[in-house]
Amino acid sequence: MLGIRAAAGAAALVAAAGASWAADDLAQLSLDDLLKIEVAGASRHDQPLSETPSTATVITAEDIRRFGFRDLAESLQMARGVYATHDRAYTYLGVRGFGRPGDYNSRILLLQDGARTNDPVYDQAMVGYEAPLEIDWVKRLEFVPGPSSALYGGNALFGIANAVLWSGAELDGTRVSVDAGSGRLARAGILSGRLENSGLDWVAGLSLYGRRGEDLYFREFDAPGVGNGIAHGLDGERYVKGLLKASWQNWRGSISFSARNKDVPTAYFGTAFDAAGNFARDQSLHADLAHGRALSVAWEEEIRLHAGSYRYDADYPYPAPAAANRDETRAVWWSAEYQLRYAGWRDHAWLLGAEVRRQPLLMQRNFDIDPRLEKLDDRHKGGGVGVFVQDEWRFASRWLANLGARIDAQQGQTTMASPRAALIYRPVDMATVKLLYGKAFRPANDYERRYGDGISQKANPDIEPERITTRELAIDAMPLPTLRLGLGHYRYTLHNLIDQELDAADNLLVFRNQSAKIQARGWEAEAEAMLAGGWRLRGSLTWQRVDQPGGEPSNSPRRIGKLFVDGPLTGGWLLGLNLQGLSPRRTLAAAVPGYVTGNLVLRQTEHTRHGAWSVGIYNLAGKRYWDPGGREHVQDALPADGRQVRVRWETVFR
Amino acid sequence: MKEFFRRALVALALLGTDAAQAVPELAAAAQVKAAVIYNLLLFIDWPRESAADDFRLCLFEGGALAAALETFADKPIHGRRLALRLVGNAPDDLRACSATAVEGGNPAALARAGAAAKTQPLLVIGEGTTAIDRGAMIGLATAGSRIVFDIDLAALRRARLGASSKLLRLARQVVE
Repeated sequence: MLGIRAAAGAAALVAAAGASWAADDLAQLSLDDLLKIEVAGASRHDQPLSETPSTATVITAEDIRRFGFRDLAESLQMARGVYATHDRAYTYLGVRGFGRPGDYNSRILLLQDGARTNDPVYDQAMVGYEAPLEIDWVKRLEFVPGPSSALYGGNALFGIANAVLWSGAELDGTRVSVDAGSGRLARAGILSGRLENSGLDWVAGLSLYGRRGEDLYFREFDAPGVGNGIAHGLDGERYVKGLLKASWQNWRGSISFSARNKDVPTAYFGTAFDAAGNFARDQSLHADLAHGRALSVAWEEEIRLHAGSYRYDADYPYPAPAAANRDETRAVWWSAEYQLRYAGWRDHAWLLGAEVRRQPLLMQRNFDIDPRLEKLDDRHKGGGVGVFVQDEWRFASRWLANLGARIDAQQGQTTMASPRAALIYRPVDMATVKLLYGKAFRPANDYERRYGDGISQKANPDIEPERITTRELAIDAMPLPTLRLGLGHYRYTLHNLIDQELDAADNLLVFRNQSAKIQARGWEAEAEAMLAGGWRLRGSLTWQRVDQPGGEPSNSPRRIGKLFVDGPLTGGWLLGLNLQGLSPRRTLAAAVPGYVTGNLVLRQTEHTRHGAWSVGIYNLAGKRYWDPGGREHVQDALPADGRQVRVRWETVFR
Repeated sequence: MKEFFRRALVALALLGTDAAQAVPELAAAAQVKAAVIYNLLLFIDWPRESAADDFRLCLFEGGALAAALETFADKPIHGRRLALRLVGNAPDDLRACSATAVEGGNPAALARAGAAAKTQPLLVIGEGTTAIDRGAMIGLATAGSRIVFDIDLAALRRARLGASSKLLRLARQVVE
C-alpha cells in the first residue's frame, strides 16, 4: 500500500503540472470522452517482450533482489535451459545446450530498453560485470528464447535478453546501496529518479565496484620450472557504470557508459603464468534517442537513433624473452530505425520498419609493446540495412497468428531473409498452445573475418553467415489459480556454423564455415506454485541433445535443473533460495562432472530509518565445480568460485 | 567524474522546470487508462453475493498504472467505496478482490488472475493487445494516439459478470 501511495504522489504531480489533462479533470470525463483523448505515443520498445509469441521468461526487480542476482547472467539463469559459464575474463551464456567455449556470446542479443547493445566487432552480448548496465538499474529483465532475427536482425539465434530500466516515476526518489563481500569486494551505487511537474521523467545512476579477488590454484601450472600453480592476486576486477535517462512528451533518450577492468589469472593465449599485467579492459558508451507519435487514429510512427562506442584493450605478458603483446579494438557505430504501426484494419496489428546501421570505425590492432612491433592494424568502415514487416492477426476466436520477416543486407556479406511464424491457440481458458517456426542468422563478425596476427591466427574475409532454423511447440497451463505449468519441445538445425580450425598448410588458426550441420532437440518443463503464507516455489527441468559430427559438443549439458524458493520469514526478513544443477559436460579434451550449487539470500523487507540489510551466500555448500575452458586456455576446465558472501546495505530517500 | 555527474543532474532538473511553460497537450497514457478503468468498473455488474464493504481493485505491483489509479481511491462504485490493494503471491490474495488490473510485462500475474476468475466473480483487466488471449476479460491498449479496449464476453460470463450494452458498443472489439 505504501508503494501505491508513494507512486501516486508522482502521478499527482504530473496531473498538477502544465499538462492540459489533470487527473481530476480526467476523473470527470465519461468513458466516451476518455476514449477520444490523445495520449503521448507509446513506444514499441515499451511493449513487454513477454507479449511476443514465445515462451518468454520475465525476471522482475523483485526477483533480482530476492535471489541476490549480481549480474545479468545470474538473473538470466532463471529462464529454463539457460546456464552461464565464467572463464575469469568474461561471462558466457549457454542456451538450449549450445554454449561453445571460446565463443563470445554472439548468438544472443542483449537489448537495453529495446536498443541493441552487442558491439559490432565481436557481436558480444556482455552479461557479466562487463555489461553496459548495472543490474540495479533493471526493473524487468525479459528473456525470449529462440530466433528473433525476423524483428531484430543478426545475432538473435538462441534468444534475446531485454533489460527494461526503471523510469523516474517508478523510482520517485534516490536509492543508495553499499556492498561488501568475499575477495575484498566493495561496491557502492546510487540510483535516482523522479517525474517532474513539467512532465520530464529522469533517471540518473552511478555505480562503482572493486574486488581484489583471491589467489587461485590451477593444477596445470603446478610443475617444476613453471610455479606452484598459484596465481597470486590476479583475479581482481573493477568497474564504473553510469546512466542518464529522460523522457518528456513523445521524446525519450538515454546515455549509459561502462568501463570494466579485469585481471586475467588463467595465463590464456600462452601468456606467462602468475605474471602481473595480464588484463582485459572493456569500455562501452551507448546513446539513444527516440521520438514516437501518432499520425492518426490508426497510424503511429517511431524514429530511433542510436550511437555507440566500444573499446577493448588487453595486455598479454608472454614469458621472457618474448615481449608483452597488446590488443586494441575500437568500434564506433550509429543506427537509425523507423517504424510504422497500423491498427486500422480489424483483427490485425501491422508493423513496418527499416533500419540503417553504419560503423565509421572498426579497428583491430595487435602489437608487441617493447620493442614495438606491429602485427595487425586493420581499420575500415562497415554498414548495413534491414527492412522488416510483422502482422499480428486474430483470425478466429481463440486463435492468434504472428507472421513476420526481415531482410538484412550488410556490406561484404550475403543478404539474409529471416521469416518467423507463430500460431497461438487457446483451446480452454486455462491453457495456451503455441506453435513456432523461425529462422535467424548471424553474419561473421569483424573479429572472425579480419583478425590475423600472422603468428597464431589468420583472417578470412569470405565467411558466410551462419543460420539457424527452429521449430517449437509450447503449452502453458494454469490448472489452479496457484499453479502454473509449462511444457515445451524444440528442434533446431544450425547451418554454416562459424568455427575456428587449424589450417594444416600454414599451421594458423582460422575461422571457417563448417559444412556439417548441427541438429538439436530438447524438452523443457517448468512449474510455479504459490503456497500458503506467501511462499513461492518455481522450478524447471530441461533435457537437450545436440548432435554434431564428432559427437556431443563441449559445454553442452544433457540435463539442467533449477529450483527457486522464496517467502517471508519472521521479523520482516525474506528468504530466497535457488539451486541449480547441471549434468556432466564434455570439455575440449575430456569432461567436467555434473554439479548442484545453491545460493541463499536473506533480506530485510522494510526499510527502517537505518536502511535495510541483506546477506547473500553464493555457492552455499562451497561445492567445487568446473566450467569447460576454451582453446585459448591450457586448462581444459576452469574451477568456479567457492563459497562467496555478499552483505548489502541499502536505503531510500524520497 | 562526480562533478560532471552532478552538473548533468542540475542541467536535467533545469530543463525540467523551463520546459513547463512550453507544453503539453497530450495526456499521460497511464492517467487516461486509469480513468478508463474506473469507468469500466461502473459498466460491469457483479453478482450480489460478492458484495463486501469496499469495492476492492487489486494490483500486483506499484507501477505507473497503480500510481495513476490512486486518483480514484475512495470514489463510489455501485454504492461502495473503491479501495486499492497491492497483492502478492499468496493463493488467497485475490480472494477478497472484485477486480484486478494487471500492468503489461507481468504475464504470470495475468494468467493467475485469469485462473482465479474461474472460482470467483473477479473482473480481470489487462494491458496490451494480447491481454485477452492471456487471461484478461478486458484488454486495454493504445491504438494510434487513443486508448482502446477489447472485451472477451465469454470469459466475463463465465465469471458471472455482466457488461452493459454501452460498454460493448464502445469496445474496439468484442470476442465471444
